[in-house]
Amino acid sequence: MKLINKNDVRILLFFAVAYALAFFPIFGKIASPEWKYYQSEFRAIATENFDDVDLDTIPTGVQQIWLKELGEVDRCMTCHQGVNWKGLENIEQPWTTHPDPELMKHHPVDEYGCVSCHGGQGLAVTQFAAHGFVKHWEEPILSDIIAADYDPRTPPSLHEINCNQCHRHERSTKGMDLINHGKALVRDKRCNVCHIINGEGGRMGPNLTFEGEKSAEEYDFTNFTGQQLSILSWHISHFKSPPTLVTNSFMPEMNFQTRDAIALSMLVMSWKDNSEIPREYIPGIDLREVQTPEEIEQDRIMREGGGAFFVEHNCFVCHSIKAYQLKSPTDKGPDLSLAPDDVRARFSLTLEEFIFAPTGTMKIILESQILLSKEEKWEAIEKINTAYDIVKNREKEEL
Amino acid sequence: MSKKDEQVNKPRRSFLGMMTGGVLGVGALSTLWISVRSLVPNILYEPPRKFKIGLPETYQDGVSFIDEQRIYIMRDGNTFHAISGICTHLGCTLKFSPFSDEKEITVRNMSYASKGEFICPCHGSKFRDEGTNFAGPAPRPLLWFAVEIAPEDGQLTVDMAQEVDRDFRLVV
Amino acid sequence: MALLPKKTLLDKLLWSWKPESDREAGHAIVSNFLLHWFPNRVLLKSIAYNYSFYLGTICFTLFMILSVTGAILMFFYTPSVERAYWSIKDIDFVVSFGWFLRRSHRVSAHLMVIAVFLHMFRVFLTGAYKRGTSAGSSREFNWILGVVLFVLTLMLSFTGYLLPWDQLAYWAITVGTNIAASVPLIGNQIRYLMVGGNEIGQNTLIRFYVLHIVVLPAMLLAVSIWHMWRIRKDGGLAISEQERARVKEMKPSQPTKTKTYSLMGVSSGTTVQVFDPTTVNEEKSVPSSPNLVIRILLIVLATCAVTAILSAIFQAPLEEAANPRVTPNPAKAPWYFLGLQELVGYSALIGGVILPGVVVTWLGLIPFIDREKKDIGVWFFRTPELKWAIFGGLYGLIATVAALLLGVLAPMRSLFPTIESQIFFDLVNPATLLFVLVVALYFIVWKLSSSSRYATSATFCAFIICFILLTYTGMALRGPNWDFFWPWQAWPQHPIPF
Repeated sequence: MKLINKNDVRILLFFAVAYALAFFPIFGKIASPEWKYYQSEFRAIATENFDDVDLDTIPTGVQQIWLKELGEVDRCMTCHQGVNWKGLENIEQPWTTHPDPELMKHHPVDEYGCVSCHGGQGLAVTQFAAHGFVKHWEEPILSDIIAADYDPRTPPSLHEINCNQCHRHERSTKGMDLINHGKALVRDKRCNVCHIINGEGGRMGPNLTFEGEKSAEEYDFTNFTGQQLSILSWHISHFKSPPTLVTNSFMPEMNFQTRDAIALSMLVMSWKDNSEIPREYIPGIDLREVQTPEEIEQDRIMREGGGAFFVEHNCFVCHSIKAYQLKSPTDKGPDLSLAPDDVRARFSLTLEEFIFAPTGTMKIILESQILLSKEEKWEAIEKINTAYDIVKNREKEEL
Repeated sequence: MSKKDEQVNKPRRSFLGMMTGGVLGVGALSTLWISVRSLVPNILYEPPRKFKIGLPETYQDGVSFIDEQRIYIMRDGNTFHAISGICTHLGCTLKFSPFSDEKEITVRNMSYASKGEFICPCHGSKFRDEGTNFAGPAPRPLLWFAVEIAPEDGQLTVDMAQEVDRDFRLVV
Repeated sequence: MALLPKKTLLDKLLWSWKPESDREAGHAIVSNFLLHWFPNRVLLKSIAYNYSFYLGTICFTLFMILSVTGAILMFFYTPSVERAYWSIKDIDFVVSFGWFLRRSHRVSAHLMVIAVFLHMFRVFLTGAYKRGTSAGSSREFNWILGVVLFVLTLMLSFTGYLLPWDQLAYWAITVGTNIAASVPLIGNQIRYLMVGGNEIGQNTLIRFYVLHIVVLPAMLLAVSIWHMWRIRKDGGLAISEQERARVKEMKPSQPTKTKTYSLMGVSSGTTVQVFDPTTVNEEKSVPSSPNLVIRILLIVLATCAVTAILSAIFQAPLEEAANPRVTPNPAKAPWYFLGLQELVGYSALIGGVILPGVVVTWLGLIPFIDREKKDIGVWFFRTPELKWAIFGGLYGLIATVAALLLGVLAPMRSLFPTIESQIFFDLVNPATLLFVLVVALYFIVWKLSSSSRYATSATFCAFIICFILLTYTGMALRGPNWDFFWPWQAWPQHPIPF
């Protein structure tokens, strides 16, 4: 019988080894992902900067914020672990505390995520992919890195474009200087005479309500002479000199300076379709019926005025007390301001006797539905007497 | 069996055989038909072919792109028409490339002032702004769709189920 | 009697993989489920690496890798137009080894397309599609099964890259279904059925998903098994025909029986005596277990190793999420369809329907066009066929270059600006020119050599060269707007948002 070819065995061993070796980089990559370094560094930084840090409270592994209503998944805090910590303002990225704590109070990370303001690819867990500087991701992080290309001396705060997704309908918002400036220019220059702005305006030029939705391929760069082939630079170039970029354009030379052009371009790019953003996120929309000042005052009196006791114990459901400006919704029973007279007339009892030994409907109510302790009954009696005095005094005054 | 019996039974046997085959065939064909016909949809979850696109006042002179249905609305003063923005070759979305100056174009024995042309990024097909294909592999000119004013609110309404020829104009 | 060493449990379980005698080797083949596919003995020439290069084994191994990685990926992928893209992002970023599974799936898919092409070339160039002399042998049928498998592989690939629902997927479906629509008479109905409606959307995605994970793999598996069963019925790999002929000379009167017929004694009138090359001249053959087994195992391991290494190196791309309002520029199909895309750029009907249809049909008919019976299983360069093959290749090169020059320098519509008839342009264009030239080649070589084999071979080699050159053109020489660019010419910059 022929033995197995020795050559075959050697080749088999070679490929078996190659196959096994192939797994080294694969397992290696899994064993030490990028974020592990950043997380271990953070633990060191935390221990260095704070005395009583319990390392068990610092999470490990991929961290995720899932905002279902916004359709957003952000894994930024896998590396940016210091964002919500106080006291790490002077540490470098990615461990630093988020600047502007006043802003963060209104935009907490677990309600807004990170990408909704900053841009980037929240799903990713490696630096370049997460910051969006990869092929086929069109929304990079709107940070100084990009902004410096447009104005190296004072890079514009491009993320204001994202702020305006929600703050679009406000005339001016704190912290959005460039966008505010842009909005002011739009009002001053009366752009809505020729263009439809935010749904209203003229038709000499294109409808700009959703201009921010256009993709890069839809722009004509034939006459563009700048370095950067981007939508933002197209707009800046266009604002600076419309007829140069668009031949036969009706839009005249507006003589915008660079800063104006940048502000307007950012504003125009922020005009996207925000109909999917849940209403709670959009300022300026009241999700409740607005009460008149009188209604607000009446509510306050009911809750905090003299008759608060009777509101708390549900007496007012059947009884009004005009002395305390308490209006019952049903008025099934008589006004309690006159209870002392009433009780004497109907049952020939004093108020105290009636409260402690009620008859009729009140017997049922006080035995089953409104249970008052002895002290509470005395308090009720005292308050009713006071109400009675108030009413009687008023009658006296009227007379 | 006697020979006579065999001769009588042969036609009966083949008749029974044919009947069985026939019945099985009916069963098989039914199964096949069910399997195929069920895959042809009767109801589609697609946007309606007739839809409103806003009031005429909101459209600028020149070319506007309706992105959901991929059609171009052309306005010239008070005259409107709608052209498909889908290349007739293999379905890519066309880009409108305006001319710097109006060009005199002769198409189908008719001269008119052309403001630009449609270009397809996939294989370089080109169409005049009135839809005629003149370069690249595109086999047919672009479709024109009926446009009308909705009586209830005055909005422009495009009907992609109704193709019109290239002399169509809606005057508002 | 000498005491035999006691058999351990391991011995009892694994004996069929390491038989200790020829008889045990034969017994192993009929007792082991996995091994029963192999014959008892195989010719050394059949299992030589440089005969078949084990390309068929490689194809099937890749299919197995694809099935396993595919099944696991199914746990994470959601076939919904809203979720598909994001589920793939999650596979890449947060599923443990998700990136590796996805890359392996993609790498093995590309390798499988290459492997089936090479396997087809090998089978053709060794004339292994010709019928042998054993009873029941029908290699031409097996060749047709192979062509079916080739088409199924390409269809699996096509349906697969549609699933991520990125820009590539969306526009590939748009183009593919519109090519189907260009079939005369019933084109629109075909498109309606493929798309599941008028517009590409959820219906389309789920139809292609079901095709990709159930219908096509089931068909591929069934036909593969049939294909491999046919190898046994045909008497083994084609090179065994040479041995069979030699053996027949020794005993001309006997009808040559294959191993399966004789061994099973299936039909009356046959004897149990096995008269087969592997049994008549035992020096030229070896038992399958362990010799063939170890080679198959080796090739499987090599395939797995290459797949794993390539997966560790090369990224699996994912374009932007599908956006119907914007067609990417340029919008290119994967490499194995780029040749087709180049032709389709001249005429959808010719390039997309007629040419591929004719090519596939012609491939299937090769065994019936070439009826010569000599040199079965012999590599073409050992025969006079070589010079005709080279002739065909060069002819193909010149024909393709001519067609490309015509397409690039003289677009049809600028040559004939006054003609409006689309039928004219469908018939007169570089794709048709190429088609006509290659068909002419067959008849030219047939006239010159009076051999259907050499004519077929020349045409086949022309086809290979055309395919390679057209694919290269689509990959490297076509830029935005499908304009022609030399490899050193820079493409215009692509605009981005910021």
